[in-house]
Amino acid sequence: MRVAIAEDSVLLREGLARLLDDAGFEVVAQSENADDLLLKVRSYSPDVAIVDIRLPPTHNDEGLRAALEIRSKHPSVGVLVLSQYVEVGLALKLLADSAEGVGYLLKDRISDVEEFVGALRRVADGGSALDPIIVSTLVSRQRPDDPLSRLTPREREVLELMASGASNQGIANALVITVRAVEKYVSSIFGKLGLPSTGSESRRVLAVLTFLRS
Amino acid sequence: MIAALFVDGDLNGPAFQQLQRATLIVVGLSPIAFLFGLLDERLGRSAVGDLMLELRSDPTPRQLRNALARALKDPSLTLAYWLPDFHMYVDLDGEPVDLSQEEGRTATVLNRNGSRVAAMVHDKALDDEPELLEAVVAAAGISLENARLQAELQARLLELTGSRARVIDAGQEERQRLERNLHDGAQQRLIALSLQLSLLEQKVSEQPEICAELDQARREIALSLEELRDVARGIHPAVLTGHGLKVALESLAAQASLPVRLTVDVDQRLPERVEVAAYYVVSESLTNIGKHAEAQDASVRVAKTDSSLVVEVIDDGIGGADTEGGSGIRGLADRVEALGGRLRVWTPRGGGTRVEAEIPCG
Repeated sequence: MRVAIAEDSVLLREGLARLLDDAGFEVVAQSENADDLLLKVRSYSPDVAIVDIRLPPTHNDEGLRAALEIRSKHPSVGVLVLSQYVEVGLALKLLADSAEGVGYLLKDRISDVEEFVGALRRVADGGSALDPIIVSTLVSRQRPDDPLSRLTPREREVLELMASGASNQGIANALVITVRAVEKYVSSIFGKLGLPSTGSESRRVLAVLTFLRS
Repeated sequence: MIAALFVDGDLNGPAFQQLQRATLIVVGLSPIAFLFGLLDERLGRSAVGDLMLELRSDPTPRQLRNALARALKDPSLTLAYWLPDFHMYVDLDGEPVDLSQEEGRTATVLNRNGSRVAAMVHDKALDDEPELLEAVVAAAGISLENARLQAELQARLLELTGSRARVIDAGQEERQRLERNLHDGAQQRLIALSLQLSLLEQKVSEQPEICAELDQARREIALSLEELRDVARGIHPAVLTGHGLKVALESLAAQASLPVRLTVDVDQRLPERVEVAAYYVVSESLTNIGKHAEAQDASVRVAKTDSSLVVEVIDDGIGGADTEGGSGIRGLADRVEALGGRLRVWTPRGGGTRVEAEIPCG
């Protein structure tokens, strides 16, 4: 699996490259700014690009703009955005049209190698990865006549994992239950929230997010 | 001219005849010019009289200028008031005035009791009537001094507003710099350190005791990072600088302790100080609502008009909010007023609370 990294801190960039190398990824490009990343994504067509949201020169929105540009110009390239703060507003912007092949994680998550590598693979394969902080903020967001209160605690857990982009298998592993049990929870959740069921796992992320933000 | 004619009286020739004719015309006309001069003076006198009458009714500074313009028959006449402390001339709004003159105009410095009060910019032709000018200025003395005081007050208000805005800007810049330092420094290093520990952990994966200790260390780092993040975010909301008001407010609304209906009608980026003030109005108001209002829900509406940004936060709570004490509303008002805007709060008991800020931005 081919990865491009855009991160302006040398320490982190090289640490990430080493980690990914050890985990069996091929790091095909390392950039310290957005323009260089866009150039290298064009030239080396990686499966996934890891993008720091604050990149030179202004450290404002260069990273996000590069991420959105990759998503529109190279839809086959997954984009995993890393940030030191996770903002619901940004997650919603990044996943505005589709949750396919996109992720948004707190930068700290890279030190949890197994989780991080799992998330990166999911994004590279066209799935999604949304930071648990975003998901829990959205889930605990107050709503009038909160429909989430109709969910059982177990269903809530499944909902959160689903919103963060986990596959049925992933949810099954995390909760130590069978995939069939997960499927039953998922259909019950969709029923209770009145959401139309969707086939693909990444499309259901968007459905859940759309529901959670409303 | 007449003296010259007498000296050259015995000269003959065509040139002389022409000169003679011209002289006769001039001499012939001079009584008329003399009469006009007299008339003019009389007119001037009556103008001064009119002016004195007008001044008796205690004119506003603007009426004063108009009265002077009428008395001196110079409709384009302007006054610039002298501020000794600032060492400059200003208009009635307190804005600096440049006295460098246009063609055909001149400035006369007006003194009263030996000190400079103002400068009058007028048509050059008035220089030929120093008496009239003097009489007019003498008549207008006290009114001029009043107008000068008013101009000085305006100038000081402008200066004050400017310095408040500068203080806020400087604080803002400093906070942004601090946040940036934390982000690029301590936070980044801690993340790299945590990453290093996990790489190390992989190397010693067959030694569970060491792994457990490394894990513990990573958890400590994670906690420190969380604390640092809260501190940094409190110092300056980086998301605002990076991504603008809409994104930043969506995050605020999502994190609020009650349901918030958010409407943001702002498509462009605004000056940073305006965005920051609007952000704090919303953030502080939502915090207040969560703490004191006992509300079921709240709505936040942010809209850009031609000349300002209007921020409105409404809740359906118990009202009666403390607008002076520790609620932070005073601080918000200061921030908004420093930008030339205003913050208003309606909080009738039992009737909810509405905070409305209007922040000018071109």
